[in-house]
Amino acid sequence: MEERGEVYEKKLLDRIVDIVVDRVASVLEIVRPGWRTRNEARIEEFKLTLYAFNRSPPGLLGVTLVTLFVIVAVLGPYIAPFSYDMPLVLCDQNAYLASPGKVITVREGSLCHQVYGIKPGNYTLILGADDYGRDLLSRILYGARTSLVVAILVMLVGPLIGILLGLVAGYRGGYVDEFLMRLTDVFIAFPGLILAIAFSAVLPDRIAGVVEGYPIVSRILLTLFSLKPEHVGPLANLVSVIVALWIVWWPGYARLVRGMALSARENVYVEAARAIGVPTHWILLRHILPNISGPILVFLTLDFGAVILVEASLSFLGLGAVPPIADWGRIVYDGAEYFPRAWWLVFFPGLMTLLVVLGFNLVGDTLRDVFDPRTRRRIEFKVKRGR
Amino acid sequence: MSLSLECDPIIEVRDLYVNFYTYAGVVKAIDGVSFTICRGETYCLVGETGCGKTVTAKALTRAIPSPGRIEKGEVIFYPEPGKSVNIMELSDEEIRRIRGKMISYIFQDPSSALDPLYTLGHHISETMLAHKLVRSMRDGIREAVRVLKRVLMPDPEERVKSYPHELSGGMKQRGVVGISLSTKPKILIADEPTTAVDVTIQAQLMSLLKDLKSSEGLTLILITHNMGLVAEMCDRVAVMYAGRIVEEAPVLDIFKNPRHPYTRALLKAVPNPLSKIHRLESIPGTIPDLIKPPKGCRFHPRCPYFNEICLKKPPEFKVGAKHRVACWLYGGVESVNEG
Repeated sequence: MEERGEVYEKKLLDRIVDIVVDRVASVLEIVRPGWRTRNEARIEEFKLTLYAFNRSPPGLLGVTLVTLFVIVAVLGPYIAPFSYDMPLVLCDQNAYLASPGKVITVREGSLCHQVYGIKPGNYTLILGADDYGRDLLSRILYGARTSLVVAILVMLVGPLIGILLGLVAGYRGGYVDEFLMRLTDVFIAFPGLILAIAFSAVLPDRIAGVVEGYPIVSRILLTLFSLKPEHVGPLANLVSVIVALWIVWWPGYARLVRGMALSARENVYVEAARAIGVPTHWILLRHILPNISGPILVFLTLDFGAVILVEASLSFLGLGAVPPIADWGRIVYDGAEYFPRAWWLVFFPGLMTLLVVLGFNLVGDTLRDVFDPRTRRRIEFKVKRGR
Repeated sequence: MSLSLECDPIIEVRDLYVNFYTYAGVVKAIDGVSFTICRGETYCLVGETGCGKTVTAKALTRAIPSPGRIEKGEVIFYPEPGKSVNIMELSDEEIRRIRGKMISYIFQDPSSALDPLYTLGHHISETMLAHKLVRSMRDGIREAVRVLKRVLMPDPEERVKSYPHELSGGMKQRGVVGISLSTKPKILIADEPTTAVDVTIQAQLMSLLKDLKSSEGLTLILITHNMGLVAEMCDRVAVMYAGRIVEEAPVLDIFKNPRHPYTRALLKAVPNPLSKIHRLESIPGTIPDLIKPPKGCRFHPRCPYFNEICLKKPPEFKVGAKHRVACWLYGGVESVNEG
């Protein structure tokens, strides 16, 4: 066996990891002097984790897919050739269900030019267009934003509720545990999608009041989703999907975290912390939660893909985003009417959903391997041997 | 109820009963334990595994884990002479402030008593922060260096930054002691502090505890089954058997003049530091099942002096100035109380 230290053969990606991590560390060093020396071991460990990740081709594919998705979602609205609601049939009759690669012409002085401000000339609709002549590429780019924002908003709240309830249930035990877990069972007993359908069918009216009643809320949401101000109305449906997913997304986490908290609380250091008078919420948040964070992180990553899929499914069922808001599930739903003639309306948004969900699943799987001590050893060994 | 000891008591346990509610049945883990500990002394609880030493110690701050429950009894804590607090009547928040701040614990296995995710300094700082002795984590870590100096940790400036896996067994043990002492508690409960470490570290730890005791005026409650340690450290000893104290005496009396048949058997089973080496004897039988404990004296099924009267619970008889024993053999002597 080689000595511990900088002896393992590094791949190009490992060097990139080194550079990035060291840069971040030196920035933190500037912000908080002495940080680097205090966290030397942590930095080394973090690098090793990333090296292990680098040894997994599926993981790298996943990261690539997810990174591309995030880039597209962030920049999409700025690089889209047209707006998500631009009916190009007004410019050129040919835009109606235009097939991929079709060229349309915007004439000088036409309605499109004068009212919508589209420069005259020829445009290639790379991925085709729908029955209003809306450019599919633009709608997919905007749709990426919708998916990402929905996923983030859902994942910020749902799991948080579940994690907190699970921690309390697992640590407290007794009647508290019994009550919270039976409540969780009730929610799990319903298929999540059905429950989400029920909630997203009932909620929009109430949500609409909130969204339209508080200008700040609607302004933030419009910016996040990159929508035009006149589309506040359809926004309510999208928000109600998010709320519905909050309601159905916590039970899995509550159960997962409860189980792990139950075993983590038996650790002597938890008992020791209690015996020396550390308050309960500190024990929960500083000793139990960090010690079970690995599986939670894996679960979160896998769920990111799942949320995107469920949101697309709800939209496909006509419950989520309402046109003209661009949403992959909804595009498929609307395009299905013209299938198979206009196959591209179904194929491309479906493909995008597939790739993104696949990406998150690959990342989640690889994270599980990297975090699980049993498989971790094997991967680490590969790193040290240089493979 | 309990003996008048003519000392300044720091903690007094009166008629304590603790049950554990398990699926197999109700385990009567502590069955009427009473004792008084004097300020500044070292009090030892000895006995076999499962006799209730640890549970008794945990009951002092009501830290019995579920499914255990304190059924009956009082624990009176005297933070200062003349001032008393009934631990059983405090709210959860009040008891939390006593844990660690007034009554602190050292756990058996120092390596599992430290959270692997945090540095030693963080642990010490957290304890002080929990009792508002420092203003922030950073202050606490600075203070932790001083704490580690007190427990004679080599190179304390570096060790505060160490994670548990980077420390040796002895250093971890010192660190754990440091955590417990960082709040300057009045009582330190050491629950088998030497079981998980080797003998050289045992010796170091014991001399450290002795020094700290004299320099900081600690009252030490030592839980152990190591008779050598008892002889070395203790002022008074309580021998526990199956959830009861069977004999309590100053340390010399226990070794020179053990009265209870169980104590005698126990001393024959381990090398006695005060007598010549003889063949060690085992105690026949096994520890009783505490779900269905034997009637009367709980030692009677294993006792060579068994008599009909043993089926009645023996009261405590006073057999010396500070020596009491719960056995009918001493029924002729003046009775202390009727248990």
